Amino acid sequence: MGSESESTSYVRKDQQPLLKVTGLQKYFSTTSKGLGGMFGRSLPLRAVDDVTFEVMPGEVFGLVGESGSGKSTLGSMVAHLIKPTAGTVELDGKPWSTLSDRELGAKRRDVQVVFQNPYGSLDPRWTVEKIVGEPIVTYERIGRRALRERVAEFLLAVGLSVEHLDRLPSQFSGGQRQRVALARALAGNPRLLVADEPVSALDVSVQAQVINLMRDLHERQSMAMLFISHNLAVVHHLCERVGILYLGKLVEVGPVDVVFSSPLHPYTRSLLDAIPEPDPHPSRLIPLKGEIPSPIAPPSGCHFHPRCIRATVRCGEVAPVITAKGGDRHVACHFPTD
Amino acid sequence: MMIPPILSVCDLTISFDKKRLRDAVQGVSFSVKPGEALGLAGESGCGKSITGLSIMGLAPKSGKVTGKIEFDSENLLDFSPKRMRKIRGAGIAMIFQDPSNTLNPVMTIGAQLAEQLRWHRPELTKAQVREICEQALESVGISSPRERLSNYPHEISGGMRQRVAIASAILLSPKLIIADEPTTALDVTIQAQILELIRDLKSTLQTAIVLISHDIGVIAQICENMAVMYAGTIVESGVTSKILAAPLHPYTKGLLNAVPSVRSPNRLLESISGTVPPPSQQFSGCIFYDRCQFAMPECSQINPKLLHIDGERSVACHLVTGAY
Repeated sequence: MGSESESTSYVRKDQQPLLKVTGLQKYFSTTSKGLGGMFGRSLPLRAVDDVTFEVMPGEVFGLVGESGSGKSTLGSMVAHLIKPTAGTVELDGKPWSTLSDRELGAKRRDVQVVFQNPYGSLDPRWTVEKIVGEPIVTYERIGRRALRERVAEFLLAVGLSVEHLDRLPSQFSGGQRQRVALARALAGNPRLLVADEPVSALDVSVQAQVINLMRDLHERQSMAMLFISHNLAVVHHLCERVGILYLGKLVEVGPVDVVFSSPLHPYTRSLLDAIPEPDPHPSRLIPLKGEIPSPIAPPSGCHFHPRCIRATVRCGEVAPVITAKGGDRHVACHFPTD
Repeated sequence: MMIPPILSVCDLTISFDKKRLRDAVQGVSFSVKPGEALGLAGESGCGKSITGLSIMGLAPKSGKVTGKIEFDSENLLDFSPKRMRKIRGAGIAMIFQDPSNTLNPVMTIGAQLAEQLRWHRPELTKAQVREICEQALESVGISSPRERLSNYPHEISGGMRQRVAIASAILLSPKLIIADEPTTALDVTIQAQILELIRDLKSTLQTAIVLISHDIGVIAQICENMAVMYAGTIVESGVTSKILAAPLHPYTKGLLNAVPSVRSPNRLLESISGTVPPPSQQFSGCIFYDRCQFAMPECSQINPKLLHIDGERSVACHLVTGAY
């Protein structure tokens, strides 16, 4: 599985990548039904299967996929919240797995995470000052007054105010809570922010506020971001490059504008065709046939072939390798559109 | 020839006045004709779900529902609970957001579908019930319906579960279906399949549909008419294509500008500052006043009424109605 050929790296030669993910895999064990289960054999669930990509310093990289595509698992591995089955995650050329406990503790600061649900990710008994101040206190010796000032600065940066310092999460709306979560992540002064569906739980008008805020913060602090979302439109507004995941594999990677305007992979095309747009005379959606197969028993060859309109016999037999197509684009398809 | 509407809601108000809260729904009126779909759009907390539930007679007991809900020219609010039970399922059916919560996990799909038929049409034999259930599953695009009838909900995928929920809704050929965020819990590719299915059913069965959604894109796909709700009131209503082409109310404009799109250039999204006011906040003037960028002095004092401006378009805004 672990293919680390030249074709699978997306290096822009001029710069050292901040984040380098190579041949990353995560298999979860499952107990299968029937005879196999009785004899203690089980098939692994391949949540993430041989994923390779890089994020440059200050770049916003989007990861798109439907539920079950492995995007959150991938995000957790990047932030070293779960350990990969195989493959490496390198930050500044240093793999997470080779760091000592002490180095790891210091390095974690560089990667902060914002989760989807701000109702679950904030401690309900902590004040905003304590929540946002925690990453600062963890890494620095700082006096109480100075801490309060620093926290207040971060609150201002995310559009909250000083008067919110002593409030509890329950006193905030969903959008405000997500701002608190964002302020907490920023307080660690990260070089990479992993944002896992940060706006999915929000209403559109508030979602727009948070998207604009993240764009603004990225521009001001030149912080790199791994933005995980199922919403292609949100990714389009925020990210510079995008990777499309299907059943744990990256099927297409490239600059957002070109990938969305002229996708190479048929799955990317189908995703774009399935989005209902609020147009006065919307074009009819072109639904993709079938559903995402089980990651326990993925289809042979190309995982997408049973749902693909361009599939041939070869697609069912040989899994396509993700290859460079020029213009910083990569696709894993035997018959990509050109 | 004018077809009379199958559902006409008139001045619907739902109040939970326990803690001096603002009415959850305030004087909402709309109507739907057979074979037509009306979209109720709005953000969370604007009263769209409770409006749908009150049509089914399922609004919480603590809520006081006043106004008129005319279904087939009879006011549902005058119905006894017993009579209402007969309407539910047979006359009006509902599809909810999350099919994993609406299907009973300990009953097979066949048993759940059959339960409805046994209650509403006791004269049917077992074989007939089975036949109707199979047909319903087939019409929502489920292959090998016979086998599926003996499956439990956990044995099928989320998209398939929503198909079962839709099959259950059309089982007794109701004249009206209320679909509350029917595709929100689904992935985009599955959402596209379900939207296609709802559109097909609408044209083949001539069912009227009230589609409740926060996603205006979904409404644009299905509904000829739409109403935009904000904090318990309708602020704009009319033909969907006309509203989307030229929104008049500042809230509708803001909502449409806030929606990110894969086709538009990578621009800064326009957002509406602030949030939907909590139900404890009272208003003397326009309910959108403190978030509106075009607010005028009179907006803080006089609440604008929903007024017809041309054809079927209605808007509740001083700025717009003043110009006409």
